[in-house]
Amino acid sequence: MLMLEWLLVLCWILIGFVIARYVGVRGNLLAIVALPVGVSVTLAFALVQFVLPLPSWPLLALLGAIVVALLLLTLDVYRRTMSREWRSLLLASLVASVAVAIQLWLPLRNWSTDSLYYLEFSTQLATDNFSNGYLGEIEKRLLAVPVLHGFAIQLGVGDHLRTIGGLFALCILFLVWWLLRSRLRGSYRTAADVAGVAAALSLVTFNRFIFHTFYINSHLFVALIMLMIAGLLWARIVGFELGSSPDGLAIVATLVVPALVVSRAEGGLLALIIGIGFLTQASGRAPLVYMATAGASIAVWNFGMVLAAMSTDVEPSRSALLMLALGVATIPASVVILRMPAAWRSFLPFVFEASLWAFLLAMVIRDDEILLKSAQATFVNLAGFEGGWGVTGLIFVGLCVLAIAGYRCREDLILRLAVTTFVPLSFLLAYLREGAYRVGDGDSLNRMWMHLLPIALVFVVQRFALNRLRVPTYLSQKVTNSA
Amino acid sequence: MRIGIVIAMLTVLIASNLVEFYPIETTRDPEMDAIRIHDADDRDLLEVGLAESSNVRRWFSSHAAVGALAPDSTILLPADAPFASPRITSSLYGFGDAADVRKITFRETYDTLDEVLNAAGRQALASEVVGSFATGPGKTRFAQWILLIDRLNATSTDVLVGFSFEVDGEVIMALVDQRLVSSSVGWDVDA
Repeated sequence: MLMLEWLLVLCWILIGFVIARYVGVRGNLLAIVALPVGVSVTLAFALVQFVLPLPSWPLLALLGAIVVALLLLTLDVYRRTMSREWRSLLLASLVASVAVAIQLWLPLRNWSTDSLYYLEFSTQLATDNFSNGYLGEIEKRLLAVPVLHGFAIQLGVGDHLRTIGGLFALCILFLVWWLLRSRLRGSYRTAADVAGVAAALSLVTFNRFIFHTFYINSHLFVALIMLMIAGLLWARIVGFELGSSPDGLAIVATLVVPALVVSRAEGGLLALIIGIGFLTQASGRAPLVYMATAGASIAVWNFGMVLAAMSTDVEPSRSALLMLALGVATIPASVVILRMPAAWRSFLPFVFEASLWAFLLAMVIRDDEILLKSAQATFVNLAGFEGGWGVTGLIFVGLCVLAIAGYRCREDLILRLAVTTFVPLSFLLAYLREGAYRVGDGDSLNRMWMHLLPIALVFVVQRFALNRLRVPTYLSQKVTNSA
Repeated sequence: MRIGIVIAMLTVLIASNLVEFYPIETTRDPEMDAIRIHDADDRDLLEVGLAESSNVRRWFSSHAAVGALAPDSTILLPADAPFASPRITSSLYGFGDAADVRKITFRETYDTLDEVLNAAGRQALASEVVGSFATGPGKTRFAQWILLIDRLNATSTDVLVGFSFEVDGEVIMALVDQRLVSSSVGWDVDA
């Protein structure tokens, strides 16, 4: 039976390989992104399925992804552009097969009550019993995790996929290594590889990283997709060789956006935050297509929520209506922003970040208890080590602060934005969910650190390795005087 | 020089993580352990959760019991009961394997289970031979639950009628096989 799970993984890799290869991704990068691209395209079909009156079976979404892959494969064969990239497919399939075998042999699985809520929706999707009566809960859980584990139920291999978490973790580790190695290669030769491997090792040795690898929840997948989007767009902006044409990088980053939107309630906002960095630093059609995809995905998902509420005489939630408006407004707003002079556009990230802090301030003026309790709990989780991140977590936060404050660098804006907006966004989410964060490793924010960790690691390492530490003026004067 | 410092910094992070891994693991709530090896990997997560976690039992045992004892049932929930919520409906479809969940309004009010049962129902309640009887702790808007099924005549298309009773300030959810409900108990199915 578990052979079916292995075949499903290979099917996703094949779909992702065909699509990513078609848009110009090559070599190791192709091997790394094949699985997440395959999964993300499947999730994009699941999103369409959710809104249209179609059966909710996950296998139907997979069928849609297979059809797209077959069409692209036919075009490839017809144009005779099929090149020697089979090595990447073989590599991805081999590594995935070994990882699947190890995970089936070593039954590691982490779960909490939340995991069972996801699986509850998986059952409903797999049995096409998905009704509109549970809007509150599905708005909170979203579609990605229920669809993924719904495959297990529909294939009859249990109530959850046993190996997908480990595979996502491997993709994160390889991508961290490949991004850093590729970025640092111009300045350092072998040391670039060593730094990349060391960064991946520092990630995988975090106790919480291992926890999330086997945890049935959306955090690790969000971390992977965020790293993919931010990392590939960063490579496109800076122009370092990652193993793809610039357009290929933008297309793959855009293809996985719907998956981020349907992974977490804040997934759409995360996609837009990265998109703002892209809009600010890139020109042409690529940022517009990215923002249009993000806006459309947010609009479609929330339109589905509003429609379902109205069809059952339930008042649509305020957040669904707001996000629907945001999704629709994203497209014209992006057009306007792209037509602005470049000097104006460069202020956009700062205006956006300032707006997030202003919103948070407005919320605090209305009710300061949520922020105070949340900040206190977060402090205890990190500095009091209640969150399971250990001393390393605290050191890493210090390194992030140093990387942000100690260096002046514009080219990594897209990574920096993801890191610096995390704090105000997280605390704003506490207000939206109407409850403060709490002490303990099961706390939402404590688990959400996982979304940020891989991007923050890449951000810190490349900043330290490529830039000169900015010494405050008064300190440099002291040094000069004493000399 | 800079890359050397970066590699050294990452090495310190790796070493720190390795040193801390075990202490973190041993001071966590077991539910949050990074490495949890399961003996029987072929078990469903719901089964594992019900066996290992009192929290999971409180949230899901009532629905799982319906799924195990009366799959494909039509479940009628009193519209004014605190547990007639989307959350419960969702679980009844998900883990309760319900064919349909509908809201009903009783024509009269009832205070105890005895009042709504017929003779067969009272016999089923008293004897596990004729009634498949399950109870457990609840969490979502009810403190306890009772599931009463006519075991001898159970089919795959049973109708379970939901009742809400309040005992000592706590709400009890009872799901009773329609064949065990007194014919004097009447209700209207909500539109």
